[in-house]
Amino acid sequence: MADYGVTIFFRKTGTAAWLSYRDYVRHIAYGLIRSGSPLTFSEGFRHRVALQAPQALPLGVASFGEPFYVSLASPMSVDLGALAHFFTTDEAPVAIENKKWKNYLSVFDTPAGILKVDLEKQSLKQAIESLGVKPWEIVKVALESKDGYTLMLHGRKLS
Amino acid sequence: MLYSTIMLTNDELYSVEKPSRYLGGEYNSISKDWESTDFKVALLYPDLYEVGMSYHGLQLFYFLLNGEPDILAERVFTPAPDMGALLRSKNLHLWSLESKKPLHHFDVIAVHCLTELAATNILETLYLGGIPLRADQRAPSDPYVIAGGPAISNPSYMEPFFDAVFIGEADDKLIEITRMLAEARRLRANRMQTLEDLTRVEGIYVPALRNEVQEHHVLSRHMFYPTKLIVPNVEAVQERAVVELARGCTRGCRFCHAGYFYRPVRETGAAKAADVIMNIKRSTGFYEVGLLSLSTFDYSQLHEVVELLKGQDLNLSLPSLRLDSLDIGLLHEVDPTHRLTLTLAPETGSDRLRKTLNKPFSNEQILAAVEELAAAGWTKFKFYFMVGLPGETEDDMLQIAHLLNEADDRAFKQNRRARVHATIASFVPKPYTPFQWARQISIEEARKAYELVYRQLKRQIEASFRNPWFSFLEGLLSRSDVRVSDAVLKAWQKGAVFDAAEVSTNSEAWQQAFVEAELEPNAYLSARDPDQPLPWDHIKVGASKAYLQAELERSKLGQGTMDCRYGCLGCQVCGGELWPTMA
Repeated sequence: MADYGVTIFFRKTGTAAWLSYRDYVRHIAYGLIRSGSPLTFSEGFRHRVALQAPQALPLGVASFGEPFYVSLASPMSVDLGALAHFFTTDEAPVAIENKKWKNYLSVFDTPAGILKVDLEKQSLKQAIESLGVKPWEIVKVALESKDGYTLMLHGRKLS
Repeated sequence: MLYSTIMLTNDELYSVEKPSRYLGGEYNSISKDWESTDFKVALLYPDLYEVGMSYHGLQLFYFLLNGEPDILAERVFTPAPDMGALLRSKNLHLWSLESKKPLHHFDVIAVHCLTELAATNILETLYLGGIPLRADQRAPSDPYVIAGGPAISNPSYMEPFFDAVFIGEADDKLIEITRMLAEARRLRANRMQTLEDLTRVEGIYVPALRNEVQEHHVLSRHMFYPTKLIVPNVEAVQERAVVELARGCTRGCRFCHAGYFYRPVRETGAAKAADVIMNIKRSTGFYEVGLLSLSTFDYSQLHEVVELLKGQDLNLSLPSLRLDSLDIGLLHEVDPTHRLTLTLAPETGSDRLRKTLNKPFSNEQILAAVEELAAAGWTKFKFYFMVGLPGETEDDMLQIAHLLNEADDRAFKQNRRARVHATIASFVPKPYTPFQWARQISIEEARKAYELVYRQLKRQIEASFRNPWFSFLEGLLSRSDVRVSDAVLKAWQKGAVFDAAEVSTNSEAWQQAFVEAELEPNAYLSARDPDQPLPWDHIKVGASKAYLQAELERSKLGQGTMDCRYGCLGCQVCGGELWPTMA
């Protein structure tokens, strides 16, 4: 089956920063169903929304945009404003790309400066402990691909 | 401090397990303006957030009350022990999830009582919310605490702590009650006078007045169906799009409190039920579906509902199967991949004893059904049994094991992947059932019975046995008199909370409480004389006492009683406009 997948970036701020990874992913899946998007479902005994969630963030860590790769059954032009209606403000969609993000660095703004982490290979919890900062003091602000392309997830300059 | 509204620092929030239990802000939750809304009610569910968010009644009342422009309804759950300790150490009051207001700022606290084992959780939650525990200690400015639900149909064990108890179904009364009590609080009216006035509402029992009260039922046309549900922050134990296919059951199983409490049956039309499910899916994204009913396979339009929900990317789940209304064709429709666990509730392994319960099917029928279902592709079978039923012998107990062993044999012969699971509990006689006079077996007897069954079971059968302490405590509270309330308070003061938790170590606190309250707990398990008054006689729930006595006699003779949908049996529940209503 053709896959018209897109990457949608969702906020994980405020109350959502205190959700467990599992609950956050569950919320995004429910929101996508609510939106009536042409989703695809897993083929198993119990149907589940086919989406690839990003690596988990430790409890309390906020993000201006977590990339979810969503498999769609048909092409769809996503209106972020309309889509946001189906999510809480703290989990609202902020950006959309037609590419699938792989092997990227997550860029965090922390009181101790910018921190870049490959979440697939490194533990963010250990990294922030070694910096001596608390989970709720850091926020994911950008993604950086291996070829140097940086996707800013918010409007302000990196400190 | 991110959550200054709840007076905790981020460090403190981080220190508790699952902090999102306490933050609110969920999709579909409703935050009204506190100052400009006249009447404020807190819906208190006395258990953890994820347990309470599974309960359909809570969401039903939440959307019903918030549908009124002059009422705001907010949720409060019992905090886990780590959060409870934090609130105590900081001298903070428990807040509602929506406006983050302390519990004592509300006009009315509506407590949902689904199990007697939540008694200490109720006290814990009221205490943490800054509300005086005893109704007679509350001032006119304190909230009115009103309880409802099947576990409070005999309210004796909690009487001193509630201003009022609603006996029955409050769907069409709660708005009126809320306005009345909130207005009284606003005017700082005399509490006793207010409560006396409240007794004019059908179903209201005021413990301080010990008034006679008749259970209130909702007519099917007044039943409320929420088409939105809150999407919980923490995954709920049962997270589903839920619709009440029917309220009530008229099978008349003689041990079943719900069967008597909620009768008569009132069915929802298939089109309405399917419409509610689809609306909930659109508003929540839930794709697991719960079709609520005490006996779903008795619902007359189940085929139609299943047909209407077909092809909508929904996962339907199945409740316990009734063998006398089993429909394998329908099972195939609901579960074409045979992924579900099929649940059967034979209750006992003995045909003779099952007849006394008014469950008219035999072991041979159970085994034939298992064989047929295994041959058709289902592999997971779960059985529910009870030990300690009235008139049970050791041989009856052994027959539980024999039935399970035989079911496992027959299922395995049909399907090599078939597995049998069993859950066995100690029977708790409940008030307002024909077995309300029966003796409950002791903890030691229950343990012996479990061992007897366990020794005879084949190894491959996975059996779990309910901790007999839970049955003991449930039995004591459900058939209590007001003296037991003193033990409840003392047990809570000694640290008992979350009594239904498997890891709970509260029994010591309870034992000390019994001694201090000068209570002999085992006396409450003994048989009651049908000719003597019962502590709950002034509260009229379900069938008349004469009908229950007649049913008890029929039970002793092993006689069945038919389903009242096919002819009135004179139990005296129905009358006026209230009769069994089919879809």
